[in-house]
Formats: sequence, structure tokens, C-alpha cells
Amino acid sequence: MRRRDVLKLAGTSGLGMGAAVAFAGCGTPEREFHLQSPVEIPEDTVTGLDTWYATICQDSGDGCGVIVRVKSGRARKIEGNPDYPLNRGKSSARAQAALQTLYNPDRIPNPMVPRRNRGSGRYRFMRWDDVLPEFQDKLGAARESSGIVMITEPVNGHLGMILERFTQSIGARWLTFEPLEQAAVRQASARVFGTTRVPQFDIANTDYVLSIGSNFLESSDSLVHYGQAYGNFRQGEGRSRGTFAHFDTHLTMTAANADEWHPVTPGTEGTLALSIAHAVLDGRPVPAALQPLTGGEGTLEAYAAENVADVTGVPAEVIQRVAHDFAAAPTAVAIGGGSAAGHTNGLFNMSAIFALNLLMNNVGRTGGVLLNAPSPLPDIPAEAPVTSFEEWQTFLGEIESGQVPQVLLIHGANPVFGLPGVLNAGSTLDAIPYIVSFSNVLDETTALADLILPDHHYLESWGTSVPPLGAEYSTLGVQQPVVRPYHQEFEGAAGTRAFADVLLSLAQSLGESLAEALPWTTMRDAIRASVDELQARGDGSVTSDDPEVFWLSVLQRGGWWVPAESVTADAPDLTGLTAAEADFSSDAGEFPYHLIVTPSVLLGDGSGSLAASPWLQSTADPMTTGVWTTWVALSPQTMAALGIQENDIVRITSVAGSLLAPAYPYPGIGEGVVSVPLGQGHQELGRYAENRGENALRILAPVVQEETGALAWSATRVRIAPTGRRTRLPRIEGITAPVQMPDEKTFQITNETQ
Amino acid sequence: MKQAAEGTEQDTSKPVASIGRRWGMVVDLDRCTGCQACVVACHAENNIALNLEDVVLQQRAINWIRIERYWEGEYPNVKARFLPMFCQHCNNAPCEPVCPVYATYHNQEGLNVQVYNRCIGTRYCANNCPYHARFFNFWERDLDDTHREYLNPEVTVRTKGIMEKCTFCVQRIRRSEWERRQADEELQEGDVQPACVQACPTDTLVFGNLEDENSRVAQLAENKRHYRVMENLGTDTNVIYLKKVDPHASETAPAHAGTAADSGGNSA
Repeated sequence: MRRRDVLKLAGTSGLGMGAAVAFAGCGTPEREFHLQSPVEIPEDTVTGLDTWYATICQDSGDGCGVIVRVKSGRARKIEGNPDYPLNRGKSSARAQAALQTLYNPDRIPNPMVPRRNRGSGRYRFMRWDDVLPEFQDKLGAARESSGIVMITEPVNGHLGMILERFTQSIGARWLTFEPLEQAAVRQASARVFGTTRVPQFDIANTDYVLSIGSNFLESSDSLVHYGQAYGNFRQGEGRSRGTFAHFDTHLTMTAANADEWHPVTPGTEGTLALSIAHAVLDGRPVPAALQPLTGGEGTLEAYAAENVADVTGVPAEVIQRVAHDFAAAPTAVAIGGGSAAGHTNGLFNMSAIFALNLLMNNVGRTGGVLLNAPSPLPDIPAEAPVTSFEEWQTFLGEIESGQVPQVLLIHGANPVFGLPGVLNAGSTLDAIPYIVSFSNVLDETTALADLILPDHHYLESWGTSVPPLGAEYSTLGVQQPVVRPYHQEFEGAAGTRAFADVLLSLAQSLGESLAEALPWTTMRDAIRASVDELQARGDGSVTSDDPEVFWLSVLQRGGWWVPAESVTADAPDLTGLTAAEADFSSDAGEFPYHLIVTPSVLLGDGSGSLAASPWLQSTADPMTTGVWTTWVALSPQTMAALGIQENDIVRITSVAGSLLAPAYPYPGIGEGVVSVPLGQGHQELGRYAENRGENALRILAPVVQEETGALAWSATRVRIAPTGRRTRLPRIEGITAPVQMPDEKTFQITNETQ
Repeated sequence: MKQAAEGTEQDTSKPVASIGRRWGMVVDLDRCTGCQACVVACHAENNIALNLEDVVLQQRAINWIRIERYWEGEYPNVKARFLPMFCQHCNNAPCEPVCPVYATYHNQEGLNVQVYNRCIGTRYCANNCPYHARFFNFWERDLDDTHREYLNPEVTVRTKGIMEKCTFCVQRIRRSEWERRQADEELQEGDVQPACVQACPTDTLVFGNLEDENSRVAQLAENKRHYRVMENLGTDTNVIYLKKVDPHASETAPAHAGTAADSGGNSA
């Protein structure tokens, strides 16, 4: 769908419907009473009426627009919102599976407190009115001595704004937690593109994609957005097929979709990028903007392909050919990310890769790098603040040295699970006398809480989102409750309450400064106030003179967006950046293998509650088809050398700890690299997640990126040892026996691009 | 089953007594990334039993659509290929003649149909399906109460002893027919999208009426890259694949279905 189609839709759909908030076009007329069946027509099947509501998905990690089918008061199916600029009708496995986080049998239905002492694992249900006064008193007392700490996930939109104002007015320290920190990507983006909002790489319209480490189809700002762009890149109408070259430590799902993939030695991605730059420049002087990175005008010779082939592990002719194709393409774009950003020299790696775009002069051009449109409302942040690993270390260090905060509030973040095990985040946070969690599932951090005030599921509550990608439109996605809160429906139940609403009502009762900063009583009111501001603009995807019609239309469409004016950013400034080699947690003698932790396309990095969904748990990992547990992807050569067979349980040991998991012979990985998928290894999180697999984040060494203060999560080296025990890795592969015709391939390939 | 390869004259392009509608799907292998959105969308739409760990280890997991992964070549020139596989809705379906109770038959719209309340669970059909698209319910399902809440009321919850497979989301076809009939209209191109097609971010899957020359699916089916899986069997499928484009592949190179070490299976 192109911009014109979206505007056309804007003109036709929904406006003036007044009272209905349902998504247009999906309702059914009532005139005919009809019997229907999947196959024939059984006599007892009656068509009921269903309604589709537009909202924003908070489970998928990108805030994509969704429409939800509601029938008999229950959410039945989730689809992409065809109007929403970020994902235009498409959805991901994670977005689909939100039905199972909503109707998760292990959701916390009521406020609860531990029986006897904290961590006993047994809880008593409470009523909201019985627990809120004490909570408020403790908060009031701790406020006097600035003893409040708030930990959340990185969050933008209205919740981001409310959290910022709440913590500021109450004098609380606000920490956000991102397990695989992307600080290097953001800061390199700031240096090269002039904005910390990582831009939208225009894959849909480019002729050549060069990715060094970026797995944009499986773990990126929005895998639905990039998936859609990829489809167009390959076989879109009115364009020729694009070419895609990928360099990474191992053959990931994204790499498998490239026309050519080449393994690169972990930590040398920046060197590889400069070598490609050398070949692209082909003797021309280094542009002034890049000179800080390359050490002056003429010194790129050190990065000539033949000079870096040994270091990077990429043959010189490959570097030269890829550089030639990249430079010769009518439009080309270079993307960096993934494990390349998690090295100690991550900032250099990312800057060198992003700088290739400056050589192609493609910033702001179709098929190049497009800067994201700003949030349509100045008050509503598009970016979420992220607390660096260094700050986390400082915070935990302070607690250990006796500066213990009095109250800890937690929402949406699980640092006990996600921080490296050597930090002992669990036992350190345990020193805080009063911990309150707003989580609606019992995760590892919530297990420490003295009081659990369960939040609604996102399908039951209000919110907004500014999409992480979007150059064309300045967008505010609006999340509305599509079903009544499930746990409020049962007689006598206390039920769940929206986190934002609890904060706002606290603000009202905690004194004037708070009430002034947060003048709304509910999240709905806050959003309504913003939407009224948008109405006053008189442009965009929805317009109306009547505020009520405007509000309902915005809800019906799933948000409001307006074509972005040209976005400006600072000029590139690479001053002070120098080429750096990657450091590792330990030397190669004792720990010979690089540990690459790989986020799952299904479960992500494991810090959310996705692992509680049996759909996501039982859906095949695209590459190994493994399900329900953790495995270790090893090169068949490494396995032979170590005497390891498939399904043997191996011990992976780093300086920071060890884990046990079955070995999987992975044809797409080199001998020096071990890949372990993330997402599992929960001690808590309910029946479908707890006590399965291992959490590789736990054994990461606490190595810090100097410039960004982020955790260098690719810097851990490990050794591998067989344990002599065996298991069976559950996987989808092999369930259906292979059938191949002797003279006819099942998977057919052509080399004709047209 | 007649083998088309043996040169029989039988016109297999149309099912018996066609009503001007033959549902079909085109799968563009050059677009598929292997992201699994279709797999979860199918589970959500069609009330498929949860594939718990035990069930997977027993090799009894049910996936109406799956992404097969084929390894090709040796490191570092190794490739992984993704192929979505599901019921091919054959016009000459091997599963149909072996059913002793007519639980599976071909309907007028080209759909290979499974009638659950006729099925007695002989599993002959699954044994005869070359695509491994049919799945047997070995267990009575034991759903958590809360996991009942999201079940699709328009799709039967199958019990133990029943064979099941992809229906092209027939409930959505019926729904769209009904909605059009309210306005005295015929079904239009684009009215029906099975759940997998609707979710697929890359537009790998395209669904429609193969008998309508102007439909997108019919036009794509004529694409130069088109082929059918195991065409030589003469199954005459209503699912048409478009070959993966790989500029580096020579046409004669084997796109073999190698697999990891001794895993004993090459389709995922």
C-alpha cells in the first residue's frame, strides 16, 4: 500500500459514524439469519455477531497497529490494522499470540501479598482498598527522603510521559531496563545521521541491501515493517529484484534470506565496513565527515581488502565484489546491528557501517536512509529513555554499600532475569525493604515483591505509541481496551487495575506538585486531552469539527497520523571516534569460543512474558525447528573435535557462570562461534515457561562498552565440554517424514532474476 | 489415482461440477523469510490443539501450515531455504479415494474437505498424502479454562480420533459469501483471506479464485517461475509455488534437502 492508498482510506473509512468505535468494514448486517459451518451446515451452528476494534499491540515490541475480533465478550483473533502506517495490515507471530498472554491461566488476578515472608512463593489475595492506603503511606514517607526507585521497560507515548512526570515530581529515581542494550546503535545513529532515533532503512525501495550483523527480519525495531519491506524488495511490482548481501557471525534467519552470506570474525565488523569503504572510494579521498573515524584523509589504505581479509575472515575478493556491487547499485543502503553492536567496540562498528551510507549520499533519499518523523505532539515522547548497564552497576553497587532505597516500584521490566548473573541483581534488590510490582505475571523480579498490584493486559487498557519506524507519517497510535478486564468479571474478585491509572490516582492524593504535573484521573483522560489537541490542528488522517466524532474516529482508526514534513537532523559528527579492536571477557586459550546470544524471532530476548504463550513456545525456531527449550548451536566440525553428538548435553562455561543444554549441529556456524537462543530459562512466569531451558543472559561477563556504558553482550568467551548425558531436543523437524521425488526437487530455484 | 505423467487424457484442471470457483493459493518462495507468522495465525484461527512438549517429542505435533527448512551446501557456502507447506487441495487428491467413510472429499469449489463427524480415524488418508499435510488427533485436548476463552466459535474443536488439516479457512469463505449475499452480490476478488495470508508480512501467500482469469492468484499462477510440488505424482494441486530466485545458483545445482547431521528428517 502506498501513501496515496492510505490517504484514500482516510477519506472513505469511518468518519461520521459517531457512536461506533468498532473498526469499519468488518461488521455484519443483521438482516439474514444464517446457519453456517466449516464444512457443510450442521443444524446447531448459528452465526453470532462479532466486532473488530483497533488498538496497538504492546506484546510484539514495536507497537504495531492491530484490529481485534471480539465475540461474546472475548478477544478471538488479532490481525494487523490495514490503515496503520507502521505495519499496514500485517502482523507477526508475537502479535498473534497476545491472545495467550491475555488469557494466560497464570495471570495474577487480584492484588496479592506474600504469605509469611517475601519469596515464600505463596500469596494471599487482597482487595485494592485494603492495600492501597498502606502503599500510599510508604510512598509518602519514602518521598521525604528521596528513597523511591522506579524500574520500568523503556516506554514511549503517554505512559512514557506519565512516568517521567511522576518520577520527577515525586523525586524518584527512574531506571529502565533493556537486556540487549542497543546504545551503540543509537549513539552511532546520532553521530552519523544526527538523531538517536535509529532511522528507517528504506529496504522496500532500494536496489542493494548491505547488512553487517543486522538481523532486521527477526530482531529489529519492527520485524513486521521490515518483513513487508523485504517482500517488496524481492518481488514488488514495478521494480527489479533487489540484491542483499549479509555478513554475520553465523547464518541467522535474516542471513538465510540474503543472496550471499559470509561469516565474519566477531568484533571485526567495523574493520570490514571500513574495508568496504576503501573499495567504494577506489582511490578517491575520504570525505571530510568521515575523516575522524578513518584517522585522516589518506590512511584508509590500511583497510585495503587484502590487508583485512585475515582479521575479518572475509576473503579479499568478496569484500571487493560486494563493495563494487554496493557502489554500482542505483540505490543502496547499509544496515548494522545485531551482535556487532554488542562488542566493546560496538560504537565503532556501528558508526563505520552507518557511515557507508554517507559515502552513497543516500540519507533522506528513497531507497536510502529515511529519518523518522517526530511525535505529532511535543509533550509525548517518541523515544524511550534507557538506563545503561554502567548505571545499573552503580545502582546495585550503591545498595550493596548500604545506600538502600526505601521503596522500589517495578513495571514491565525483569532485571533479575535479564542482568548478568554475576551482578546478583536478585539478592541485591532483596535488600530494599518495600518492593511493589505492577506485573500481571509472576516473573523473577516480581517474585521479590511485598505487594503485587497487577496491571491490566494491553488489550484491556488505554495507552499510546509513537511507532519506532516511520518516515512518511507523524503518528500517534492509540491503544484502547477491546475487552472488559478479564479478572474483574468474576463476582467478588478484586481484579486488575491499569498501572497508569493507579499512578494517576496516587498523584492526586500525594500532594499538589504531583497533581499539577499529572492533572488527569485516568489514562483515558490524558489521551483524550492529547487527541483534542490533534483535533485542533484540523489535518491528518482524521478530521472533524466535532471533538466527540473526532475522538471516536481516532479510536476507530487505531490512531492519528499526518504526512511528515521534511525531517531535519544534525550534520554527521564523528569527532573523537576512532577505530578500535574488540576486547573480550577472557583470553582465547582458556575460553576458545565466542558466545553469541541470539534473540528468538518468537520469544525475543525473554525479558517479557512471551514465553508464557504455548503457541510461541511450540512454534519452530526457523533455523533449527527447536521448540520449548534451549539448545546450543555448534558447528559439526567443533562437535566432532570435542566428541559431541547431536542431543548430547554440553556445558557452556564463561568466566561468569555456566549453563547446560543439548547440542544442535548447525551447518551455518563457524568453528570458533557458539550461538545460544534467548527466551527461555525462567524460574517463574507460569506453567508454560518456568523451568525450561537456560537463560544465556545469565552467563554473560559484565564487560562494558567504554563510550556508551552499555553491556558488551557479545564480548563473552566460553569453553564447551561434554557432560556424558543425553536428552532429546524437542523439535518440529522430522515429525513429517521427508518425501523427495527422485527426479523432482521439492524446493525449486531459478537463477533468472526477471 | 491416475498419473498425469503417464499421458492420460483426463482433464484434471477442473474438479467435478465446478461452480466457476476454484480456490487456490500461490506461494512465492522468493518472498518467504521463514518468520512463522502464518503458523501462529493458523493456530489462532483454527483452534488447533496446543503442541505441548510431550506431544512434540512423540512426533504428534499438529501444524496445518509449517515452514520447511532445507539446508543446502557446506559451510561457509551454506544456505537455508524456507518453504511453507500445507494441504495442497489436490484436484486429484490421493487422500480422497482411500477414505472408507467419505470423510474427505472434493467439493465444488476445489476444496479438499474433511468432514469431522464422518471421520472414524483410520488414518489411511494421512498415510496416502505425499505432502504430510494431514494430522491426527492422538489426544483428547485438555485446555486450561482461560485458554478456552479465545477459541474461534466458527471452528469445530476436534476431539480425539479425528483427522484434520488445512481448510483454506473455509469458515472465512462462508462468512464472506454470507456478507455479500446480504447485498445480493457475488463474492469479489479480495473478499476472502485465510488467516495465514492475512498475517504474512511479506505477501508470500496470495489466495483467490483460480478460475477467475483476472484474479491476482490466477495471474501469478502463470508466472514464469511457477511449479507445483511433486507435480509428477499427478496430484494436480491448487497450490502453486513460485521458484526462489538465487542469482548465484546454477539451474543444474542440486537444491537437495540436506539436513543437520543425523537428524533423520529433512523437512521441518
